[in-house]
Amino acid sequence: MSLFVQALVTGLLMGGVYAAYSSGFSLIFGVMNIVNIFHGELIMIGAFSTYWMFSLYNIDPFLALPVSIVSVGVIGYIVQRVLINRVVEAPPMISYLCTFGVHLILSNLALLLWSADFRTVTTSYSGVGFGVGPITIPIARLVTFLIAIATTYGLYLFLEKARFGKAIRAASQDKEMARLLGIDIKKVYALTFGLGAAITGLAGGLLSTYFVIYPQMGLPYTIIAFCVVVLGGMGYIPGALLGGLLLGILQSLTATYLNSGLSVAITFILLFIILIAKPQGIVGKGIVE
Amino acid sequence: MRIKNWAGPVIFFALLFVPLLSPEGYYYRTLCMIFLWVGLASAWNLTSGFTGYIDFGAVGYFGIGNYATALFMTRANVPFFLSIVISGILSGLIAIFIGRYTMKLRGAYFGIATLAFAEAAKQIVLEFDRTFKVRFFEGSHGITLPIAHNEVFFYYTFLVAVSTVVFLVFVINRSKFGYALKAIKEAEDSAELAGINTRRYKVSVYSLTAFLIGIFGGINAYWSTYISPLDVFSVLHTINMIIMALFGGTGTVMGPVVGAFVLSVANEVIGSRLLYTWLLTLGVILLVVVVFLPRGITGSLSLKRFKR
Amino acid sequence: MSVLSVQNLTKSFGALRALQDVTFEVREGDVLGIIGPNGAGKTTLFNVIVGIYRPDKGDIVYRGRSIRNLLPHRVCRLGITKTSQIVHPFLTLSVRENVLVALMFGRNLSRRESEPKADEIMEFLNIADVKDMPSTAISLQKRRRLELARALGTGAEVILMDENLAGLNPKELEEGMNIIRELKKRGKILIIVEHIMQAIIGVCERLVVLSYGQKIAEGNPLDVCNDERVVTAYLGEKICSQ
Repeated sequence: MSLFVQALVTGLLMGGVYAAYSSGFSLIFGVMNIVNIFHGELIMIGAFSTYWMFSLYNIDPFLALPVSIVSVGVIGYIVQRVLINRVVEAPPMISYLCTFGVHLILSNLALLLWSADFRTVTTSYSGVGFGVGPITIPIARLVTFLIAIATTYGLYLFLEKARFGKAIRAASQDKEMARLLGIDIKKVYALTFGLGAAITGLAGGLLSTYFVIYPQMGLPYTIIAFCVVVLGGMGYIPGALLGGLLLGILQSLTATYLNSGLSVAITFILLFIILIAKPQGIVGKGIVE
Repeated sequence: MRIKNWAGPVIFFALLFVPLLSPEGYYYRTLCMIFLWVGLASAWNLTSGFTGYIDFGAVGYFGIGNYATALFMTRANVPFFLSIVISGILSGLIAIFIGRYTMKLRGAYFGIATLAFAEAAKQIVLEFDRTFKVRFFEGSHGITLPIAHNEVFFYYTFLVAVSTVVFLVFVINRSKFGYALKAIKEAEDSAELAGINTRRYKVSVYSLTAFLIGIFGGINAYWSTYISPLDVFSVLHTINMIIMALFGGTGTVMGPVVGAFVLSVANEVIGSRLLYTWLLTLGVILLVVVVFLPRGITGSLSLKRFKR
Repeated sequence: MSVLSVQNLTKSFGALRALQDVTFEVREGDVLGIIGPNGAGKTTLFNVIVGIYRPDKGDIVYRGRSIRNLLPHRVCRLGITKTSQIVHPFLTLSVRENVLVALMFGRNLSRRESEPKADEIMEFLNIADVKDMPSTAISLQKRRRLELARALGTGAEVILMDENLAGLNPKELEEGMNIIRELKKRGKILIIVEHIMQAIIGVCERLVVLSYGQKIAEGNPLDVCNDERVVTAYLGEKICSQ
């Protein structure tokens, strides 16, 4: 029984991080209708940023998070301006192929620069956890979870309340109308992409505190992000939170009772079921093509 | 136009006589590799190029074909040719199931869903044994098939297979079935309104593609003698199919043939030595083709300017 | 004799009520006009009839058979098709190939059987001169005719024309109206959505007026134009100059 609860807790904590980087994915899709295949690479770069800060300059990964945020955010903004903006008005397949090309470039560039070795960030508190009854909660995971949740909630608030956030929402709902209201769509897109990327970079940095990192780690995360947002509803940020937590728990249970190597398989099966049964997501507020 | 129609049969006949020249083993292997990629790229193009539903999970069927043949030949002593037919049919049947649901999705959704399918298939084959404590797929140990016949045997097997695929694409391109597929690509709603049962056509061609890819997978297994999940389910194979077809031109019959020929040779020469650099180059090629050359090489050559 | 009967049709998209309790009938020889301000639900109505959307409530009965659950290609085979508001021809096929596709699949003919019929249709609609051009390369008027050609190619008896005459100059408009009259003579039953009042009144004997998803008036053009509710729906403007 305590095994089950432990798995549940671990999954929940993991799910928070899933939610964080998936909300970036959802934001980009919701606003620009782009499914970003190099999303995983943004996570990877965020993770490597904290890794290098830690191993080269001995900066604690949590303190190095701003580096992740900025580096990935900037990369996101640049790719958007140079490439994505060209194809954002084209049929979705074109933009999909483009992001796939960027995925190839970024992941192999990383391989060339940093080799395929697995790396970890091992700090003084890396294995340490505190006990709550029979359950152990690792500190790193807990802090990560809290930051992730705070970020997701922050994004949600930004979109609801802040002036620019509302501009983003307007642009996603009706491009023509937004243009007529004087909103510079290309600028909104670029900043949206940058924002989505920044959050994703943050999540990558958080992940580096307790997961192995390597240049090809991106793709499974992209698939997870996709599943999270399909579960929660494409373009609906609170849904990403729900989807993330659910998926985190599901994966944790899979790892405990079956085999962690089956994570993508389980994710795919779940994805398949949702797509068949309820494509607008569990809560039903997603955008469906 | 006329020249294009004759090029195929001429090339086929020429290739029939190559073994008479007694080339070295290396040349046989290279030619077989080229045939394999031409076949895969053409089969992939049949669905993705013709209907516009870009499949990112094609390697799933390649892997299924490989493993089905490997298992039938090693465990049940089924002869080679029967094995590959069964592999093809199995792939086709699975595709009907997968396609029926994933093709309800448009555009990019379909792409990721199929990608997830291929990754899931890889994981299942890799981890099945360890999870359920059995010995079946042999996981990362891989499977070794019986040592094969001589190279000439595989040369002709691949040649027949690839010629059949290319011919099939040629026939479909001019047929009523082909018209339906193209109509779906251009404007699916309009196609539906014109009386085309879009779901039936989409799933049919997807299943046909899977069948063909499955057969090539089966031949590949026997030809390679040893297969493992990370090889035969690698997303790199799908990437190759996509870029070869796009580079050569998805709208034509010969497009994927040209693209596969050029890129597989380049892969052999460059990629075997500088893998990551080569993959990076592929990414760049993909971007260039998608943004600047949407009709690929053959499409642009046929001088139809494509304006969106 | 009622050919097509739309009964209590209701369709919502989330919180948006696009159609509510819409009921009307179409008889043999009818040319029915559907008018209403923007957003009234006219295109949704067409999309529900041909099967692109399924209605939440209500039914659509075509020659005694309910078609509310059928997919568009089935509805087309049975005899109802529509043109599109944003002209959506098969972009890289030629004009002729577009019509061939409609014939081959709408009427289930072989390519050889379709070719002479395609020529006939293109002659009738005056687009035979551009038959080998890609459908993106022809004028607006000809593209509209192409949409109509595809509808005719399917062999459907009932043709829903969604703003097929929009954007045409007066001469083209007159030619378009003549084609509609000719189609009626050939036994087609037409339901037309248009904003151009002059065109609607010129060819339709009956109008149905939609506003905010509901039918607010029905009858001959003159009565409808002067109906108070209709005038209010169009924000007080007199919509027909007589």
